[in-house]
Amino acid sequence: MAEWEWEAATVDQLLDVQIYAADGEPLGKVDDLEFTTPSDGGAPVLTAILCGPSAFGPRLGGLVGLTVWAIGRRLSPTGSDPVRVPMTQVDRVNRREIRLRESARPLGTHRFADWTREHIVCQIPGGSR
Amino acid sequence: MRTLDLLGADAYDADGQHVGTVHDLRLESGARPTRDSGEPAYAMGSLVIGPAGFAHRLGYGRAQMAGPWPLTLIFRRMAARSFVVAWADLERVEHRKVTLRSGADRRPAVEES
Amino acid sequence: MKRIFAVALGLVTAIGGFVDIGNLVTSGVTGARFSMSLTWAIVVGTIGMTVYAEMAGRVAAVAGRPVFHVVRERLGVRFGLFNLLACCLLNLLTLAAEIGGIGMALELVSDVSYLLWVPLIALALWGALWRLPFKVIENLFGVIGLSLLVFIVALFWLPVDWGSLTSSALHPSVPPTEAYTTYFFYAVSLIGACLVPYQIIFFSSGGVEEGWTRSSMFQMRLNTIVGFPLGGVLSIAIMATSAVVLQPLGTDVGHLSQVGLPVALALGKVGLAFAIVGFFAATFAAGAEATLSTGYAVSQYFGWAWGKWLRPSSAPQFHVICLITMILGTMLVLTTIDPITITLVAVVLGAAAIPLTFLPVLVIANDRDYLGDQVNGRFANVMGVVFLAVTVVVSVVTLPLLFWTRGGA
Repeated sequence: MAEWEWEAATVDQLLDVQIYAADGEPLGKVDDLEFTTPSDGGAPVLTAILCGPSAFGPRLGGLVGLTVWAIGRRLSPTGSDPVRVPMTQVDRVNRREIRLRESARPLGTHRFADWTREHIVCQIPGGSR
Repeated sequence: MRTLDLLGADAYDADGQHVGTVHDLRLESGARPTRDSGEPAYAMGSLVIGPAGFAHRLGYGRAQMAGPWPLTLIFRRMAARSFVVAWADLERVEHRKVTLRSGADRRPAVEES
Repeated sequence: MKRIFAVALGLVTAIGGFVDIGNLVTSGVTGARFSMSLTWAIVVGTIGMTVYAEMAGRVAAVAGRPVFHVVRERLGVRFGLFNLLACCLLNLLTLAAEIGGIGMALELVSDVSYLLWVPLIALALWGALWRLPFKVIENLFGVIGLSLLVFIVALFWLPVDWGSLTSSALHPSVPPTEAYTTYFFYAVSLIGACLVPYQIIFFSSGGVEEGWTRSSMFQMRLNTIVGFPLGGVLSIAIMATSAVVLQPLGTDVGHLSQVGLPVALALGKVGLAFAIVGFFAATFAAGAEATLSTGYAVSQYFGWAWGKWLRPSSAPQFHVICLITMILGTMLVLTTIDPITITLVAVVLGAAAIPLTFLPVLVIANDRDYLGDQVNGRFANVMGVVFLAVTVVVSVVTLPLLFWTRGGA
């Protein structure tokens, strides 16, 4: 059960919060949230956290945001989808951080870091330590 | 549905008057689980509508800010100009536009400190 | 000796922030032109920086988060990005100014043009940042920077009319040969040069690098109380030596070498050597701070792993951003724009950007969700609001004054 440490959670407070893996590794920030409207027409339910340029771009707005979103779409292998972290993988939520479960394996959060490591860091002497 | 579909949307009352912009969405627990999980999920409980969300985002809508004095005065006053409307009190929700039901209950957006 | 290392972070932040190339030259210039009449500006800058560094340090110790981490959360995506870009630009200009400054210091001793030194300096700075652990960088530059204390020694060695010096400091006046607008331009430059944003970013991130916790509050406060006032004292000492030696001669300061002249006069070659080593350490420290701060700020804005305590493979984006900053800074210097001009622009931009950095610090330091019972007390809040107001005034007048006085000509 995701532990929510404060009662009246609001979307504004959830956005831009840091996401950590269970071991404390920073994974990124909450760029956007995904809601699903249930089939019986109730209020939309929070189903996932979204990260990545395609989620971040629209929030930035304007021409800059559009550019960021376009770059994200180009770089993403699966098309225009941002990285999606379902709420089932979330262990703890509070104003300061979102922590994922031990078993969580969010797809795609490491893509940029891996790319940077492989193509730049490891090319510099002493980088692969 | 993403937050941007609602955040920043224009809000109108039943008479068609523009009452502000939606600058926050409050979540409540206890919704029926979606097929993604087996646990009670969080759903949209209410919308915070008003002139601007800056004061709220800085944290002055809630009781946890200790000051400093001039900023609390200014920002709490700004934050108090917003009101909260329950999801059930929405007549119509379209892309970036919400309409309130007539007689919708408007609660204050600022927590008493 | 170990005691000194406990306050190394505060020391190195102050040395890299208070006596970097911008401050060195501005203190020298103002001493030569206005005697001690701008002492109050350094005092204001020092107190403001100490107050805000303490708040930022408290957030790092209690909440375990450096300041820039929360800027995006509190100011929102757009303001946060604007803040980030302003800081990055400022850091880049500062880095270019510092590399140029080290080059000029080396030119002093070697007669080889500073431009030829620049690639070597950049390589050395990058090598240090890449390989040395944070603690070593901190301790090394913090301690070597202390050789700037030679300015205080020189002050006591020179024939000084203490009466007129102190009265000039306590009763500021504008000499008849200078315009009031020029005086105020240098005042805001000095205040701005003391309050550069990268110091806050570096200090709070450094606190997390050091692993400060709730129980480190005393050590954190010691860092701020020792480091920044010492930086202020050094700046005042440099201003004083210029006032004593250069002002009676009517010499203006246009080059770093002239800042060191009073020390050479007082203590000869040995004194000058200490001064040059001090210049070197301070500008190197500032360059390191500006580079690391950019890495910290960008990584913290996007939520990536950051920190020198992590190996490059564990924080790849952070290290790459530092590298890119170094490359861009070096390129900027190699365009042969006068480093003094770059410094001037950096100081002015810095002055304009300070309120953006200070406001989130003040707000977060009041947030019980982050600090619990360690939120600002009345004193911290009064000081915080007063200095926020000061920075807003400085920010607003700085650009008009720059144009009106044509850069303090």
